[in-house]
Parts: sequence; structure tokens; C-alpha cells
Amino acid sequence: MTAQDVRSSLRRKAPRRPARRGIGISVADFLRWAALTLLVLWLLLPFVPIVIWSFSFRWTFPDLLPETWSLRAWGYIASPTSQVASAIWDSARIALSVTVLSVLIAIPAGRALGMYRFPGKGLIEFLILAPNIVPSLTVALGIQVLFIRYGLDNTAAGVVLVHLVASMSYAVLVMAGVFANYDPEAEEVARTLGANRFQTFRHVTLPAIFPGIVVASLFSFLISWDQYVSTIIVAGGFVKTLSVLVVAAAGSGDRAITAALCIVFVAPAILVLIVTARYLTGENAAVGGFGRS
Amino acid sequence: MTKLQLTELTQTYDRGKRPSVDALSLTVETGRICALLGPSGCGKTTTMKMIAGILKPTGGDILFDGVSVLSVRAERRGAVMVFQNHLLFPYMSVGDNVGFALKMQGQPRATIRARVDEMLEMVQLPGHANSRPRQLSGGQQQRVALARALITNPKVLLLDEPLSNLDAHLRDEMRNLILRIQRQLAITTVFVTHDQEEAVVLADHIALMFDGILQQHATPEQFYECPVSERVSRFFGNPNFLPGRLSGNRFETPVGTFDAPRSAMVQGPGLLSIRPEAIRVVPGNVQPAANERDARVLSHVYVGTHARYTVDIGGHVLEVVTDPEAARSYGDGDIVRLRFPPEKIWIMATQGS
Amino acid sequence: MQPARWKIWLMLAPALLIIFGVFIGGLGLGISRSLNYMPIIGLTEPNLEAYRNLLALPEFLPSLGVTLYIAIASTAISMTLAVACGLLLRRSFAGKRLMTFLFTFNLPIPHIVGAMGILLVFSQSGFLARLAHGAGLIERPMDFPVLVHDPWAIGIILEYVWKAVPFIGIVVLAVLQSIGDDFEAVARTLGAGPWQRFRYVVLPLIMPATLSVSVLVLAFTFGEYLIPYLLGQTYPETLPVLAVRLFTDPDLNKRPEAMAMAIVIAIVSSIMVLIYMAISRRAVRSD
Repeated sequence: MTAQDVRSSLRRKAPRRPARRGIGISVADFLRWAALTLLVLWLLLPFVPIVIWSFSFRWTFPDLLPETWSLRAWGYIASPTSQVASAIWDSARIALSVTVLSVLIAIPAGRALGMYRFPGKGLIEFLILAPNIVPSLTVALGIQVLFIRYGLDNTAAGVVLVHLVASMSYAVLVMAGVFANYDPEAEEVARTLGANRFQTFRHVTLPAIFPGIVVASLFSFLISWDQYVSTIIVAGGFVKTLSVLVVAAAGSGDRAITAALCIVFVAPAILVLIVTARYLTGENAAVGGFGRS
Repeated sequence: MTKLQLTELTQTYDRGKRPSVDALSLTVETGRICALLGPSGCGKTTTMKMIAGILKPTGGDILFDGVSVLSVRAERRGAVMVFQNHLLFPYMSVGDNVGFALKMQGQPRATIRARVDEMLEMVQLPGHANSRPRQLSGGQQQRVALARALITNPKVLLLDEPLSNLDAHLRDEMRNLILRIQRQLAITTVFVTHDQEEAVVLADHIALMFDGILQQHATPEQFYECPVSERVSRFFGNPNFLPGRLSGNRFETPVGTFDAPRSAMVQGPGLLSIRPEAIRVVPGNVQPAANERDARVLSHVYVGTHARYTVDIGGHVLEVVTDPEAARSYGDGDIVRLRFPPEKIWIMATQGS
Repeated sequence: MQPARWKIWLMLAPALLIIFGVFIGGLGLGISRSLNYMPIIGLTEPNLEAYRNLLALPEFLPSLGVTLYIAIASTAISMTLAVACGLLLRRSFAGKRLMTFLFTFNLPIPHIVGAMGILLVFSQSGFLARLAHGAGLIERPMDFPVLVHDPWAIGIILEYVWKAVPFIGIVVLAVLQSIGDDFEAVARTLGAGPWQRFRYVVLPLIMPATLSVSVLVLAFTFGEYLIPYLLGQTYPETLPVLAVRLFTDPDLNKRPEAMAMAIVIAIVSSIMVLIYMAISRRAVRSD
């Protein structure tokens, strides 16, 4: 890309605005700015005390800033007694397993739902999407009996299975959308040019659906990472994921530690934000972002 | 019944860039239809949006009956726009769509219903008030959009590419409908198109724009007979051109000198233009008279109603369209005598203005 | 050219395995247990005893009431604010990209963190209270209104709204973007003023998509456990909190009631899914 290309592509990206007469901005624009600033402040405000609390030792009413700052909370988190490191490890490996499985399941299922017609499709769609709505609570309570019978209760594997229901459901939703917009003719062309099934998938299908896979993976990971209720029900106190630790800390009343744990807990979400901010435009973000705990 | 005037109307989107509409001055007399014609991006839709009040001009003025309407909001202006993709509100019935403007005014329901029925009659869609827009064909939807626009007896009717979306046979129907309604209601109408045929067929006069600048504002005949520049001329079909030099009433070209009383300029280098249909094929047994030249036939096509010759005259290739009789006499390679009637010759400056 | 029917089913098989194995299995076992039918442990006579006990439970109706209240209030407020935000963000203006990014910032943030943040900001000794003290508005924490752990569930609703407004908002934005400006331009030339344009043109066009996304939010807030647990009062608890408490009760006879409650939650949520699909289908057809 030459400097010329960069310049012309920048020019193309600039939004067209009607030329303004007079100076500065209009009243409507100012009000809009004010309203949006208030909105953004409200959306970002909850993070502020969390960050501050994590670095405080003593912060009582009515001080706006801590009386004493300290790294006590962080020190505690870093120490082995807090079990934070093992919790992160547990959460991560569970979430990664869930992600890999979700995506592997979602690619063929999404293709079937997005591209083909078959009898009973409506029912299947309903069933596969239902976990997005039916609370994980109900499923976890119910499946406990089965898990106890087969020894899956209180195991990470059981947790993975329960998380998988919600994650996979979301991943299928995403991939179905991707495949609905996918044109299979490119595959047919590849086949006539001599590519076998695997090569076709690798060189034609995969690149086309890759953005969807990224979105599905990122949010499957987050769904599992954020899960609390189902983990608690299925694995009691035996599998201590990070979400379990955070809620326990919230109940303990130690705000500094809770705040610090929140920050650690939120780290993958921030990473996802940075990745998707580059990857997706504002409109496509509707594909991601789901409220789960 | 409104006289529409545009004075030095300008629209510059980004400061420092070329204006989309550059100092456009135009008058449309009461009850007339004017076409804004030009290639995509020439500023015609922008102009229409400014007339409607949807877009604020960066310069110039717009007058309805001599009074500036720049300070009047679009909702109050009385200039209605019909878009190319009709834009009927999909969640409302046809009747609700048509009666929309009256509903915004707060008219009683009975009045609205009566007027809606009247309008649907006028666009030849009686009884469709309860249908949904998606149940109608493209042509019918277009007519509903027209009815919706006309229900308030607007001052100015603005149509964006009214015939472009329609199949050929529907186009005739729609054209006749627009003409009939426009004459009946005597509404000052401006429509936008990139299709010169559409302009010629619908409009009383045409304003041709290139790159935001008005090239020529004239009747369709004048565009054919005396286009102001080569580019304008080329927009209206494919005339023949011969380069040369004009002095007085005579035009000197590499293939000879022609009597050329009709000209867009006084003198100097220019182009001789003449329509293929205007060149006459004459017997070549005597010496060539004034404005007659010999040419060699390169190829010919016989189409039943006429014959089209491609000829070579002194290295220049010309098209000649003549009646089928003459076609039988000449074949490829033959020499044919062509007459260039002076009253059909038009001299213009080289390059678009 | 579709592949053979059996191949399609093969593609769906892994997903269906999880769905039927874990999801339906869990639901089915829950229903079964709530009906006191569990051959594995010797209960072979299904009955509605658990459901009767449930209805007889003094906490049940208040819990159901408060859960519905929270879900409906959160969704209604979020929907309204989201539409307003969508309208604010749609036009081009300086800094639009940044604003839109910040608007969607909290989408991937987990609810736990949101709840913590709301707690720290809105509690009586929280950030806002301290700002109020600094501005001289209050003297002691007690003077600040109770917004968390309060009978109106303000803290809970705040947290749900905090998360749901961007979630619904980006859908509104996407729809507004795809509609474009031309419908409103037409309406303007037909004499419609700003409020009329919103009411008769914009609102009907964005309603189907907005409603279907809002139903998702409604279903989610109804069945969600953690936020009411962290930010809610101890009485009445929401249904999910009550269900978990009954489930973890040492008295195992409470289990069927817990299951019954979980089933009730699932049923209400499923009804909401069906409404969602019905609205979506209607929205697609009316295009």
C-alpha cells in the first residue's frame, strides 16, 4: 500500500457531513453530545470504584478516595492461599474445553440449519436455541440426578457438559447466521478443480466462515467463564472456578479483595472487547454480546 | 399551480471539495414538467432534495411563486417527493399510505377515506385501499406512491427516476398516467432521470447537468437540433461529427467545405454535427453540388423500416440512416453520394463546456 | 443441491446429542423429580404433590410476583432507553465511532462484575453517596436513599438495565442503519413533524426487531440467579434464588419443590421463546 492508497482509503472512510454555516456546533448537536456523555459515564461508572477499591486498604465514607492505598488485595490474590491461581486454571481449562467442543459441534449444525431445508427444521431450531433462554439453573438442577448416577457430579467434566449446553447453543446461532449468508458455489467450483473434501473445507469453507468462528469461540469462552449457578449446583464446592471465588468474596464483605478478583475475572472480557473492536463494526456487534452470569 | 425558481443553487458537501450542485439557476413555469437529466452523480437528486427541503443548500435560493422557501421546513413546504423505490410504509395498508399526509394534518377519518378513494381512482387502483403494499406489483406500488404524494395537492411534485424500475410495457402505462394526472392537476413537476429517452418523452423542457453544472436548459427538440456542446450532443443519441473550422457561414473540414448557417458559436475551430437520419442519399451521376460529398460504404444493415450505412468519407467514419429504397441500390464497397442539408447541420465548439 | 437427508442429520447429530442428552435430559429429569417420579430411587408413583406444596408455600406467590416485576420493569426501561440511544447514535457526528464503541463496552462484561460495580456505586456508603456528601447534600450514609437490597429492587433493575440497554441498543442501531433516512424524508414531504415521524414511521419499523430482542432480555432476567442473590432483599427472594435455597436445603423432601419451581421458571421462559419466534417470523414476513 502506497502513501497514496492510504490517503485515498482514509478519505473514503470519512463520513459525509453537511457543510456547516456559521461557527461551531448546533444546539441539537450539543444536546446530543451531552446526552451521550451522560450515557457513557453511566455505563462506565461502575468500573471506577472497583478499580479504586482493589488498591485500597482503608476507604470509608465519606472519602472520595481511599485513606490508605495498598496492594494487599493483589498480594493476597497472588498468594497460593487464595486459590486464585488454581481457580483461574480451572476456569480456563473448562472454558477452553467448552469452546473447542462448542465450535466443533456448531460448524456442522450451523451449516445444516443455515443452508438446508428439512422436515422438522423449525422444531430442531427451537430445541437448539432454547438453552439460550431456559435458565441454566433448571437444567443443572435436573441433570444432577443423572450426574450422580454416572459419577459426573463434582467433576470438571460434568461442569463442562453443563456449560456446553448454553455455549453450544449460542455458537450454533452464530454459525447458522454465517452459513445463511454463505454461497456454496465456491465449494462446487473447488471440487471441479480437483480439491477433495478436506482441501475444500480448509481452503474454501474455512476462510469464509472464519469470522463467525472467531465470534462463536470468543463468546462461547465467555459464556463458560462467566457461569456460576450451574457450576455451583453441579460441582458444589469441589470445582472452584473463578466465578465461584468472586461470589464467595462478595459474600465475605472484603471489598478490596472482591474488587481485585473482579478485575482479574473481567480480564478475558476486556481482551475480547479489544479483539472484536478491531474485527467487527458496530452493527456486527449485535452478533456477540450476551448477558450471562 | 406554482412557479418554481432556482437561483444560483449550490450544495457543497465537504468544504474545499467540488460542489455537488454548482450555482444552478433554473425556472419551471406553473404547471410545467421539467426533467433534470444527467449521468449518475451529476447532482440531480441532490437538487431535488434541496427543492423538497430535505437538504439545506449551502448557497443560492429556491423560490415558490417568487417567495423564498429556504426558511420553510420540509413539512410545510408543499413539495412532495416520490422516490424511485416508492418507499410505501410496509406496515400500513395502501389506504393508510395514501391518506398519510391528511392524517398528519389531523383531518377527520371520513374526509381522509373519501379523498383516498378519489386518489386511488385517479391512479386506476380503485378498491385497493385495504391491501398491503407487498401484495401489489411494482407498477401498482409506484401508482400508490404517486397517489400518496398528490393527495394534498402539493405545490411542486418531485419524481425520482419514475420510470426506471418498470418493464418496458409498464413504462408506457406509467408515463401516460403521469402525463394525464399532471395535466389534469396542472402541478408543477420536476423529475430526475439518467435516461434521455425518459426525459424526452415526459418533459416539457429538460435541464441537462454534468458534474453539478447546468449544461443546457431547453426543449427536447432543441437538444436534438442545437445542442450546446459535443458532450451534450453525445448524451442525446449518436450524431456524426466532423472536426473543422467555422468562418462566417461556412465550415471547412478535411473533406471539404460545407454551408453551415446554424451554429452555437461565431467562428473558430469546432465540430460539425449532423444526425444519421438527416444525411440524404442522392444520385451520384452528376458533379457533386454544394454540401454533397461522395463516400465509400463500409457496411450496411437493413432493418425493414430503414437501412443503416457505415461509410468512410475522407478517412472519417459516418453513420447514415436512410429509407429502405436506397438500401437496395448500394452494397459494401460502393461509392454513395451523400447530401448534408445545411438546415440540418449544427456547428458547436469542441469539448463539453 | 442439498446433500442427502441422512447426511444433514449427521451434521446435526453432535448438537442434538448434547441437546437431548444434557438439556432435554436435565429438563426431563427435573420434571420427573418434580412429579415425584424417580424409579432410580424407588419412587414409582407420579403425583402433583410437589406442585401443591409449592403453591401452598407462603413465599411462592410473593417470589413469583417480585420476579415478574423485576423482569418486566427491567425490560421495559431497557427497551425505552435503548430506542432513545439508538436514535441518538444513528446520525453522523464528530466522535460517533468512539461513542458507539463506548456504548457497547459493557456487552461482554460478566453480570457479577456489573453487580459489584452497582453495589459500590449506589449503596448507601457507595460512590454516589460520597459524591452527594461532598456536594453537601447528605450528612450520613443513612441519609442516602436505599437503592440496593431494597424493596423496589432498584439495584437489581439498575444492573439489568445497565447490561440490557447496549444489548438492545445495538439491534436498534442496526435496524435504523438498514432503514436509512428515506422513509422519514418521504414522511417529511408529506407533512409529518418530528414526533409524528417517530411515532408513525420509525417506531413501527424498529418495533419487530426491538421487541424480539427484548423478549430475550425478559426471559433472561426472569430466570437469572446471581444478581438478585447479590443485590436483592432476603424477602421476598426471586424464584431462582428460592429454588436454589430449597435445593440446598438439608431436608431432602424439599427437593421436589425445588425442581417444581425450576420447572415453572423453565416453562415461563419457554413461553417467552415462543413469543420471540412468533414476533421474529412476523417481522421477516412483513418486509
